Amino acid sequence: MNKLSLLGALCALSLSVSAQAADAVRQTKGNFEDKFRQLDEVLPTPNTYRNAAGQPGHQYWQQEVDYNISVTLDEAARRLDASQTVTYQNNSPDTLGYLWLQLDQNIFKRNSMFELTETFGSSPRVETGSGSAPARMSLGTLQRQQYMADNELGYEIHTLEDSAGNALPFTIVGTLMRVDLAQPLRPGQSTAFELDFSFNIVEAGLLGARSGYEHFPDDAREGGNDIFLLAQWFPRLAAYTDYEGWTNKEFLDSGEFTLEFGDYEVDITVPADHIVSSTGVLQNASQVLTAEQRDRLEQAEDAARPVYIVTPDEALENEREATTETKTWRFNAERVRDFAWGSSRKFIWDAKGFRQDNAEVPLVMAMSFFPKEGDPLWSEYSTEVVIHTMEVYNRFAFDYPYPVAQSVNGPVGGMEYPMITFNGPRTTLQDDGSRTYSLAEKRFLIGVVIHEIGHIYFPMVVNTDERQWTWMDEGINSFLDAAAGREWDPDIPWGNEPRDIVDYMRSTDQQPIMTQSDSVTRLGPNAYSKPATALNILRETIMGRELFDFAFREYAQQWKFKRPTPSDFFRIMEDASGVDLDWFWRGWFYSTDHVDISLDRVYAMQLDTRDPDIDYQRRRDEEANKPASMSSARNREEGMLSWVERNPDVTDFYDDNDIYTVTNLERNQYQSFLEGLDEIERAVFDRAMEENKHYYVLQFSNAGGLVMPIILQMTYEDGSVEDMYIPAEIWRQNAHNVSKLIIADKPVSSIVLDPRWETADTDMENNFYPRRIIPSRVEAFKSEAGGGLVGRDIMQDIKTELKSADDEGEKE
Amino acid sequence: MIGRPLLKATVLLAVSFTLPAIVPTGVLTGVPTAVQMMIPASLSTGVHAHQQKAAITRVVFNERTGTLEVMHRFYLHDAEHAVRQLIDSDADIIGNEQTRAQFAEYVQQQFSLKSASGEALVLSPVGHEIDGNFFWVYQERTLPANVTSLQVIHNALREVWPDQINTVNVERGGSVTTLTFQGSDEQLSVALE
Repeated sequence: MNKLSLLGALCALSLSVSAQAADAVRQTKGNFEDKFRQLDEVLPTPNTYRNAAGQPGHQYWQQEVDYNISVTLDEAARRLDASQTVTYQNNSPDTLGYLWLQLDQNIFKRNSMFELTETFGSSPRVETGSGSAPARMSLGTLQRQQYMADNELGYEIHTLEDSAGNALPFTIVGTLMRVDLAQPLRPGQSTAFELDFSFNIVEAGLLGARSGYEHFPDDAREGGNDIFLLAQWFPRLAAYTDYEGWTNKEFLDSGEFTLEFGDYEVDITVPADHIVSSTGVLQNASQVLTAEQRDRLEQAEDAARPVYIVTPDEALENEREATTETKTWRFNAERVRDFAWGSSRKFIWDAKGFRQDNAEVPLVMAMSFFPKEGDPLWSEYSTEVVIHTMEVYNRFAFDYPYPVAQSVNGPVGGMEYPMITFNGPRTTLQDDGSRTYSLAEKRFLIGVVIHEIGHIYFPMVVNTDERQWTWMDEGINSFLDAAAGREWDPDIPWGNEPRDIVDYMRSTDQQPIMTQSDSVTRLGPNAYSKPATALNILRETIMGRELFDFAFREYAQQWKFKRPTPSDFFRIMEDASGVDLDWFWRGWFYSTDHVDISLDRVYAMQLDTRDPDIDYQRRRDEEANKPASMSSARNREEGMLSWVERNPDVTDFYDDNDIYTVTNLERNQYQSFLEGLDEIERAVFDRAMEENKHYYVLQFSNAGGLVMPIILQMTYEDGSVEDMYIPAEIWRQNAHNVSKLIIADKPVSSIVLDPRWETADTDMENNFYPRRIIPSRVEAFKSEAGGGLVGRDIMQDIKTELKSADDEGEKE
Repeated sequence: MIGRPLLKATVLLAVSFTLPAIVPTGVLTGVPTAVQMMIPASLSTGVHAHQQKAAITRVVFNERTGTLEVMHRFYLHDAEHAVRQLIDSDADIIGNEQTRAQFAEYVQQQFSLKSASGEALVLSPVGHEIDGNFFWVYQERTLPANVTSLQVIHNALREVWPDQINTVNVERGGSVTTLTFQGSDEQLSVALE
């Protein structure tokens, strides 16, 4: 071998090694697929920060960032001006030369990456040519474009100085900003800087933003009023983590936030007639609230039902005119990862105390803030739902860790921040001046308040990285909100039913749950319903409630006020339950397989007795039960007689002894067989003979690819029913086809696979033996017309006057 | 976060794509050259679409019954808010059969199928119903002969809020092909084996 060819060989070798490194263990012949392979190469290697049991490791660390902010709302200009002092504590083992801040308001800049990369449609194959199939552009889209052209949006950064008053150099990169420190920040050190900034508040509804203002032009006050919801409103430190370093990925709207915990002191200056709802605890109630309002707050602490702090009548009065004076509300918040607030003179405010058995936080004030446009729905339910949510989540996870929990109505459909949530349900103004709502809107309020208050647990306390893994807060929280919903009223369909996810999972454009948020097309099923349904299946079907609830609570307890990643969740759920779930995570979270298990065949069998007098007779009966030869039957129908029939006088031994005739030869062989059995074998044999059970071999195939337990319901000929659960591990050596021996006391008449629809099996037609025709929804509908009554606005309809025959007469 | 249906309706402008008779070198085909306006009712207040504003439709070749079945599934909550914009502000999809029928008719108008040659495959209404969280609309027709591809249009609710996503699963034999309508998608095609 010359030098050149040796070099060539080395190159080839290294290439093949690197190709294999991506997929270290491969099946290189045959079609074995190891659906149970542990997630060894998929999950990051455990370390001292996150251990192999899925817990924080013994050297776990996270940064702390404290904020002292003074902010003024310019109502007329719809603008915020603020100054903040940030103290950054470096608890990492690393020396930091720079800090990264999130500038989320910059997503609204005309040249933001989000704006520049908005696509026109999903498909490059836009149908063109005929002109008969025009593409669509909404007037709303155009209005949005015009709004963005007319308004300067995004942050204006005025000054950035260190604590000595020296300007710090900074570089803005899209929705992020790098601040270069004068001195490297060593492990254990802290640094502080001051930042002054302003921005114009966006119209939330128009831009589809998570915060902003909403204008109410029809209020009595000339020019109307606004509700302001402020979130992502101050430059926040990006998280610096052990698994990713700086989490400085551009904000593209879908992947939300990951932030550091810290303490906040915030002074909020607003028009003097505004009511402010905010993250944190109000520090200067005596300056901003009346004595009566403070009394009402005290009464609310132990009230049976929510108490108005600002009544609907008082709020209506506030709406009528404005003031030029201002007030400053001061809020402190400890150990929160973000800070949001709402402000308006329109707010009605109610409160009710929630007592919990917790020494640190014995009392939580549940409060709601809403305009008349949300009433009477909000007065009735919002604060009560906040408390119900804490009761349920406390049981699943940990005691609510903050002194307030708030639900605020404004232009945002549903959004969560520490201690405060924004929720959208509204009521309908009727001609008679009353406001009514449908049952569906009531369900929306209950559902959205549970969901958003639930988010205060996940991800505001269990601090998951929403920018990477939306499912970790949305999926887990959707799972829990349905659990809380069912405890509120089980008659409401709360979702997370396996049957509701099958059409998504069968879709060919389904994406793995472990897809980064901004790349997901259908975020609803991908990050909310599918993971929530998966967790529901784990709890109800695969692990059982006892093991699941223990493991899940362990996850919540271990990671509250810390920052778990998916691998920590996957590991701790296994570690605490003793149930291997790698196959489940692999199938449901890392793949796009769906569930479709088919019961292909059922073989019925009977044990031979080896006793020739029994077995030979059975063979004879089997033969007699087979249909006769068609040709012989037709010969007989035609009156044809066989030679044997025409010559009955010619007979011999075999006319009286068929092939099933038993002789002593077979009887002796049977005796020798019995004698050849040892004592144990004989006992087994005798018992099997005596019990005379029914043996069935069931053959299954896995058409969908996702391995799941096989859940069977056997119906016997006597009408009795028996359930059987075969764990998913039956597929471990062959993920495509398996067979199972079932031994039954009595003959089986039919078998159903997954009778309670608990596995999300997409095709029920192959779940029945014998096969059953499953009518499609169209067929079923045609045979029995459907309907529903659930969303009637009965509150309004009930005012309908009854028309009598007399009324008709009067008209005439 | 979860999305919230819009408070007001928007109506779409149709942007026609017409091919220039002569395509100059270096100029992309399919450049919009005409804009058709539809009459706006009011403007949109867009919000994030998360859990909702997503419909899923099954188009099933049912060989057993000899029918092409179309089953549209909407979130009830989406449908309820949509009818207040599409019909009137008091429209009540769940309490009022007339509203339900109007919404079903609207969905049927917004959904259409064509064969490869562009021939319309006209669907007949079967009915509609509420089932749990969902509002279903059903359509059908006899199985078309020799269909090699389908052209699908599914605009339902996309004129109500721009971030509506409509998924269509075309199912024949054991195979499924998925089309996803979002953004400005107007017509998508699926080849059938």
